[in-house]
Formats: sequence, structure tokens, C-alpha cells
Amino acid sequence: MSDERRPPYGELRRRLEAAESALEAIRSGKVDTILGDGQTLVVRLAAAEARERHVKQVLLAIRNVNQLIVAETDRRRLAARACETLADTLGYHNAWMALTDRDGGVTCAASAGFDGGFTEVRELLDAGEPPRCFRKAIQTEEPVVVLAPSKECIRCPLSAGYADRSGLACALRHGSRTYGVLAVSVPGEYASDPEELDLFAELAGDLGFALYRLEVERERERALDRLAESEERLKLAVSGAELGTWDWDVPTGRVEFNDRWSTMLGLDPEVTEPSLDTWKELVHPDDLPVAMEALQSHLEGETEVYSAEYRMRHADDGWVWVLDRGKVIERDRDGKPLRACGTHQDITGIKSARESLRFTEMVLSQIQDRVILTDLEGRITFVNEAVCKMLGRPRSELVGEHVSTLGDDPETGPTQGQVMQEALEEGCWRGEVTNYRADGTPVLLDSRVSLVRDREGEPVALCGISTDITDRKAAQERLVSSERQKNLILNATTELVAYYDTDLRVQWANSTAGKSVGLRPEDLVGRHCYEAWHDSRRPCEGCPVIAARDTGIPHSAEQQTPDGRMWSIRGYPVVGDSGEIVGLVEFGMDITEKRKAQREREQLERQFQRAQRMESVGRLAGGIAHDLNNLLSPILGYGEMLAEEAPEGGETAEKLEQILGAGRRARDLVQQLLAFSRRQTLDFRPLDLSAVVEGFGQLIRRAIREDVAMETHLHPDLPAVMGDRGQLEQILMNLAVNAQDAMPEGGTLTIRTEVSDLDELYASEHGDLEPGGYVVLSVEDTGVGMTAETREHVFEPFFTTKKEGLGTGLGLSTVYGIVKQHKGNVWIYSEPGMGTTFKLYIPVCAGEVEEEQAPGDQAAAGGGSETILLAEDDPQVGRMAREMLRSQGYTVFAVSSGAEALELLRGFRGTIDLLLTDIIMPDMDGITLYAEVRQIGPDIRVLYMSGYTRDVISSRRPMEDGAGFLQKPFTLKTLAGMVRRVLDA
Amino acid sequence: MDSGRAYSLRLCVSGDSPSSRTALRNLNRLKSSLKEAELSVEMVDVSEEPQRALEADVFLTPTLQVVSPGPERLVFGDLSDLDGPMPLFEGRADER
Repeated sequence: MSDERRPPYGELRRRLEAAESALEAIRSGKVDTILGDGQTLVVRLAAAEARERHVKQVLLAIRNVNQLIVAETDRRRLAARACETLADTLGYHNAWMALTDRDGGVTCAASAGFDGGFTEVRELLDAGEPPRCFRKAIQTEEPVVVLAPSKECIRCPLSAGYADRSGLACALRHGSRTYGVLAVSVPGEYASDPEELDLFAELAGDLGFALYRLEVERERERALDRLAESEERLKLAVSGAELGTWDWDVPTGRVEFNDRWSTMLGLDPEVTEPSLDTWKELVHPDDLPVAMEALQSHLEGETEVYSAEYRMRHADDGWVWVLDRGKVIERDRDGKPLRACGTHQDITGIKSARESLRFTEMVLSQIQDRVILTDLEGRITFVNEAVCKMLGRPRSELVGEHVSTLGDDPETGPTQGQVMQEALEEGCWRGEVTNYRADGTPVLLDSRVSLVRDREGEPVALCGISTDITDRKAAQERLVSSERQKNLILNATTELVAYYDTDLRVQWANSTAGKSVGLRPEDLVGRHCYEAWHDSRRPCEGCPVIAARDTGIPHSAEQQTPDGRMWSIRGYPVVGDSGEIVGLVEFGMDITEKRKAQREREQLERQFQRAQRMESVGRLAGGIAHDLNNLLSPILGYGEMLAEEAPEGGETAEKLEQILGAGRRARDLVQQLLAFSRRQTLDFRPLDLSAVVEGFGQLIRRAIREDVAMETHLHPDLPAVMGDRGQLEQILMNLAVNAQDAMPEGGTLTIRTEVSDLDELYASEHGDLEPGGYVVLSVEDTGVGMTAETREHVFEPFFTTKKEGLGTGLGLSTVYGIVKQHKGNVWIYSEPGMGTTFKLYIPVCAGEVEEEQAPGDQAAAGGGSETILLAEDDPQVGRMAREMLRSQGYTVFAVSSGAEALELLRGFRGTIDLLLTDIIMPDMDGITLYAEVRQIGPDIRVLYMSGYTRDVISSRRPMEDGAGFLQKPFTLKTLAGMVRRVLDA
Repeated sequence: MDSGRAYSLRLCVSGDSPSSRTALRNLNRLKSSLKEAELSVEMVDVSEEPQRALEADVFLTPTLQVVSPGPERLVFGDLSDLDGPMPLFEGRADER
């Protein structure tokens, strides 16, 4: 040994490790074979061990299953737990079991060790398609071996999971009965081992026996259950029926009663004498003979069964109705009865139930509602009198009919089939159906159909109860139709119609009412009328509806709603049956347009009347003026002649001068009246009104007071109008003065010109104007304004609001007359305190405006700086002339009489260049004045002016040669021209 | 474990015995999990060639012998413990 070289340590360690590893592999059974050292002996260790272990495991499994068999009482649970046990003990890799009934049908299946893979097989079993091994096992006594299921049983859902294991299957039997099949899997190498198969067969046998035992046990239990059940039923029946029993020994007369027999009669069973006499004494004396007779005839064999109903005395409480039934059960050889048995049944309740049934029937047949009973198929089993009467058919005809024959028209409601269907399903049905009488007329019914059930809750019949609603329905329809009609009528009117309760709440409103506030009529219901119409929280003042409510008589009024519309409202009380006011009706008509039209008509009428009046006044004035003029001419003519003849300075001359003065004033008035009545001769030319205003504006400015501002707004491109320039200037002056007088506190005077096209309507609304183009000249002040009354008369002659003596009352009349003579018209727009505007409409003419000298040129041509003394008794003319002259640059001293002129002249230090004087003046005529003036200032020249022509004047009163004469009325141009000519002469 | 290396293995089994069969199955599984490594396996059935097993120092089946790269190592049993062969290979790597 010592010579031998020791192996290195590492090699030793490796070998040791290898040895340990080999031992470990052997211990854990992972080794098949150990090879002998130096020999060819092969020991197959592991296989033997594994085989032994397997057998042990199978035996253990069988033992466990047997333990289970002893303890388990339910076959299903047994099957399940047996499979689990077999798989758990590892002897079998997995196991399944299917149990069958006597006919071989699978009733349940259990499995273990398949990890859920058994589901498909279970389904196959349930479907009656068991796997092949099952079928084979059922057919043979021996276990069936499937060596390689994965190859042999490709269709079996389990085969894939078997790997290289084999399957074993065996029927579970005992005696001739098969209880099912057990199938397991084992390692392939054991599958054919006879020992293995014996063990498996033994296991199957044990399980078969167990299942047999369980079946026997179960059947025994069932039999016991059935027995107990039937006993219980009997007991229940007897006690439920509460029957008393008797057992009569006929020869001795002894009768055994049970307890119930006694208690039924309120007797103590302990002391009830068991004899026939006991019975006889208790039976009602009236009923005993009948009962005895029935008994006797049975005892003698005449009846099969003894049966009698009679009353028996109850110990405490009156009488009990008893149904007594019995039978002889033993007779002697001669047929004499020896023993009889029977029962007593308390039928007091049944008796009263029968009574109550009879009562019910009586009630049903007599009540007014229609009652029909049918079977579940709808065949009539009962109808009451009311049905027969309603349909006019006898009961005998109706019973047995199907309900659908009473009326089954799908047009008029549900069919009887539908009704019955619902009643059967829901237990009841309610609705309207139409039946037909024998004569064919329809009857509308409100019908309730109920399902009738017996005590067990089983449906047995249908009961229909109906009320004839033909009349009610018709009335309802009439009501609806009348309501619809009412709505149609009241919605057809354009009047507002509303019905209120006495608190003024809307109960109903028609569509016009709704429209008037933009709502649907139903949305108004419930609102207060004052809220709905007037948007107010309180009832309105003067409401005719309230008045109607408070007085009980109709009222009417006009009211305005917040939207500005006018309504004619009428309120009517609605009086109830007992005379009290139950509501209010309002009728309202929108009269906004009507009122507007009325106002316009009235206005037009007023205008027309005014025009008429002016026309007639004008005619009158014109006529008078004309005649007066004719009268005045000789008066003045001869008066002047007399004055010529009268000695100068004498008293007569003076008096004549007074007459002549007055006559001349009268003549001036006449002139103005003639202007008003449009009888003047006018010099019409095409004119530009803007130019006229512009030229004359400065004059006006000078003529009016300084506290009155003047504005002009002139249209630069006016069409021409046919006009008399002088007359138009006169109009402007008159209106300007009028405006100034209307503004005692000062203000603004505005003059404008504009163009306006009057269409037919407008022209006709504004009086007698032709439609067409007009130039509008307006004169506007900011003064005190006028009342309607003043407006109405302002153009009439001699109408004045000024203090007496301050105006002639002819200024505006003149304006009116001149405008009218121009085929135009004048309108006044004025309210007290709001100023006044006069608008003059002059028609546009076709002609061209003649070229005239511009106002500036006039000044250059005709103006001057000389001093002029102006004497004119007419203040209007005087003022106008003064302003015209001043506008031309002259210095003017204006006086209103000859005396004033002389007085001024005498006190005047400067030079007077010209005397401009009216010829006819009250105190002193112009010619006389000039003569006087020349005494004072011989160089003073003279220009006379007069309404008369020069010839007329000259014929009366010769003027100096070379004296200028100006015909009134004059324009600025002629005045300026004449003044210049006289001064320059 | 090294991949891409070549191993020469010898598996000794005894016929179709259960553990031998399990060992073969486990070795095949190992082969398929070690795709990169090149394993060449020589099968020796001791029921047919017992002498050859004994010459290789194999005295029980199943045994897996790692022939190369050396030194030789033996793994006994059915190779059901997959951890077995792997440290075997890894251990060899450590020794280099």
C-alpha cells in the first residue's frame, strides 16, 4: 500500500463528492440500475422499489376508500370523495367515476387529479355519450385496460393528459345491479400486471357494494318517509275533517263514541254515556223521526249506506247540524245487524255557507250591475237578471254561449280574447267593451273582469261585472263636443273673451286674449286679469269687470293697456243657479286703430270747417270791402272837393279834414280786407323765395326789437314760385312782427325756406291743395304760443289777442289772403308755451326766376347817407318804410303825423334832405305838410306815397312839379330807386 | 454559463427504465434550453453494453458523464433537478 502512489487530495475529494452524489440519487429513487463491480450482474433496484411503493399506495387508497364507504351516506358525495382519495394517495395518478341509474343513464360524475380537464367528459356524460372505456366496462365483468390512451382514445378529451400512463376502468356492481364506472390511470408498466388489476377490481367491488348499500338504505328511508307521510295525511284528514266516530253494538245498544263526537256537542268525553239513548236524547225532537227512519231502513238492508242530516243539542249553544253517515259492518246468519260504525260531521258551517251562497246568488241576480261568470275558456256559466234584461235575451239562451258572441268587435275595443288573456295573466282587467242587444243595438259597458280562484289558488272561473255607460259616454261626448264648439265660436271672434272667477283670476280665455299678450290662452289661466293685461299688481281703476261684479249689472269702459293700445271693455256678471255671481266675463275690442282714424277724421273735419269758414268770411269781407270801397270813393272825393273850397284854416276846413282822415283810414282797412279776400290785383312773377327772404331779411332785423334774435335757414337752390314780391315781403313783415309780439321777454325768430313734395294723401289732408312740389316758407318763434281756440280763429279778420288799439286784427288775415291768392296755404303749429310756427306752402311754378339786382347792388345803386324824415300814419307801413330806408344806409326819422313831423323839424339841428310822406293822413295831408316843411327847410325835397294812383291824387290835390310819387304798396327796390331819384334830381 | 461552447456528454441508461427515460427527457429539455451551446450526447445502454459503462467508471444508471472539456464529471440520477447540470458546467468555467 505504501508503494502505491496516493491520489492527490483534489482527486479524493472529487471521488467522495461523486460517491455522495450517487448515494443521494439512489436514496431519492432517481436511479434504475446499479452495476456490479467487475461483473456483468445487473441489479434492477429502483423498478422493484417503485413497484412495491405503488402497490402500497394502491392498498392505502383502497383502505382509505373503505373508510370512506363506512362513513359516507350520500352516493354523490361518496363518488366525489372516493375520487379525491384515490388521486391523493398517489397510487393512481387520477380517477373519475360516473354513477348510473337502473336504466344505465348517468346521474352524476366525479373526478380528481385532472386539474379541471374533466369538464368536457362531464359534458359528454351528461349528453349520454360516455367515453369508450366506460362503455366497455359496463359490458364486461373484468377491468378494462387501455395501455396507451393517448394513442388508442384519440377522441377522448382526457387522453392527452394521460401521457405515458395507462387507463383502467371497471364497472361498479353488486349482484346484478350496475351502479356506475370507476376509471383511473396508472404507470404504463403496471397496467397489465394481474396483481394491479386484482387490486383495481377489488376497489371497484367495494365501491359497488357501498353504492348498493346506500341504495338499499335510501329506499328504506323513502319507504319510511312514504309511510310516515301517508299516516300523517290520514291523521290530518281525520282531524281536519273533525269527524266524530261511533261504533254501535246493535244487540246491546252500547255505542262507543270518540272524543270528537262528544266535543262536537260541547260534552265532556269522559262522562258521555256510551249508549244509543245518549244519541236519541240529543237529537232535535223534530228531526229524530226522520233520522230513525233512515237508520231503520239501512238496518233492514234497504239502503247501502245510512245517511241523515239532523240537529243535535249543543251543551252550551243551541243546535249543531250533523251529517250522520254509517254502515252495518257485521250481521248474523239471518242478516240481523250486529255491529255498525259511522261518523258525525258538523255541517253547521256548511249549512250556513249554503245559505250564504243562496244569498249571494240572490243578490247577484238582482243587482243592477251586469254579472257574467264564465269558465276559463270563456263559456258562460252564469248571467244575472240585469244581463238578460240589458241584452234582451233569456238566461237559457246565454248560458253555454261563448262570451265573444255578446260582442267582439275589434273596432270598438279589445276582443274578448284579449280581455280574457289579460285577466288570466294579470288576475283582472278593466276597460270598456261593446255588447250587442238581441235587436243589434250596441251597449257600451264599463267592465271589470276578475279571475276567480279556488281555495288552493287554482284559477277556476272568470267573473265579469259591467255597468252600462252608454248614456254617460254619450253625455260625455256631447260635453266634449259642446266644449269644442264653444272654443271654436269664442276663438273665431277677434274680440278678446275671457272668463274670470270673482277674484278676477282667468279661468278661460280665447285665442285673441292670448294673442293680445303673446301667450297661449291656457298659459293665462290662473293669473289675475290686471296682471295678465295691465302688468299690474292691483286691480285697475274704473274696470268695468269689477263694476259688473260689484253691481251685478254689465258695465263698459275704454281702457288703455301698457303697450298703448285702446280697448273697449265690457264686463258681464255670470250668475249661478241660486242667483249669486259665480264669475265674470270680459269682452274686449281693440279700438286703437278705430280711435286713431276717428281722431284723424275729426281733425280733417275741423280743417275743412275752418277752410269753409275762412272762405265765407273772406267772401263776406270781400263783398263788404268792395261795397265800402265804392261808397268811400265818393265820400272822399267830394269831401276833398269841399275841403278845397272851404276857406283855409277855417273851422269847416278843419272838420272836413277830420272826416277825410277817418274816410282814409276806412279806405286803408278796406284795402287790407281786399287783400284778405284776395281781390287785389297782384303782379305775379317767377321768384326765388330764398332771395326774397335774403333781400328783405335786413329790413326785418331792423324792424324787430333787439332782444329778439333772428336766424335764417335758406334753401340755396329753390325752385321758382309764381309770386308778387311786394305782397310776399308784406307777409314776411307781418309774420315777423307777429312773432316779435309773441315774445315779450325776447327769443329767437327763425325764418326758413325748404322744398316739399306733397303727395295726394298729404295734400288732401292739409286742405285744398293740389298735390305737387311746394316751397315752404316758415316763420318760427319761441314765444308764448297759442291755444287751440286761438289757432282756430287766428286768420279771421279783426281777431286779435292784442290789447285794443295795438293791432288792427288784419295782419294775419292779410297773410292768409295773400297766400291763398298765391294758390298756397298756411298752417300753424303751436301750443301754449311752445312757440309758434307758420308754414306757408307756395306751389312751385314752371318759369325761370327773372334776373334781378342783388340786394347788394340795390344798395350800391339806390342807397345813400342822406337824412330822411318819414311821415306815415299807418304804423305797419311806416315801420316797413323806415327799415327799408335804413337798410339802404339812410338816416331816418319816422313820425306818424304831420304835426309830429313839423315839431321834430323845428327842434332839429341838422339837415333834412328828404321828406317821405303819406299823402292822406288824419291831421294833415302830405302836401300840406310839405308846404309847411319848406317854410322851415326850403331845400328839403319831397317824395309822396299813397295807395291811390298819382292821377287820383292829382285830380284832388295838385302836387308840386317834380315831386316824387310812390304808389303803395311798394317794394324795397321801388322805394330805394324812387328815393335816390328824388335826391339826385 | 458559456454559450457557444462545445460539450461532449455521455448518458448511461438501462433500457427503457423509468428514471433513465426521465433522465433522457430532462437532458433533451436542457439541450433545447441551451441553444447556443453545442452539446453532443453519446447514449450508452448498460443492459446491452454493461462493460462499456464500467470502463467509464459508471456504476449506476442513469448517469450523465461530462467527457470534454475535461476533467470528467459525473451527475447521477434522473436529472430531474435542473439545477444539477448547470453548476456542473459553470463550475468548470471557474476552474479554467
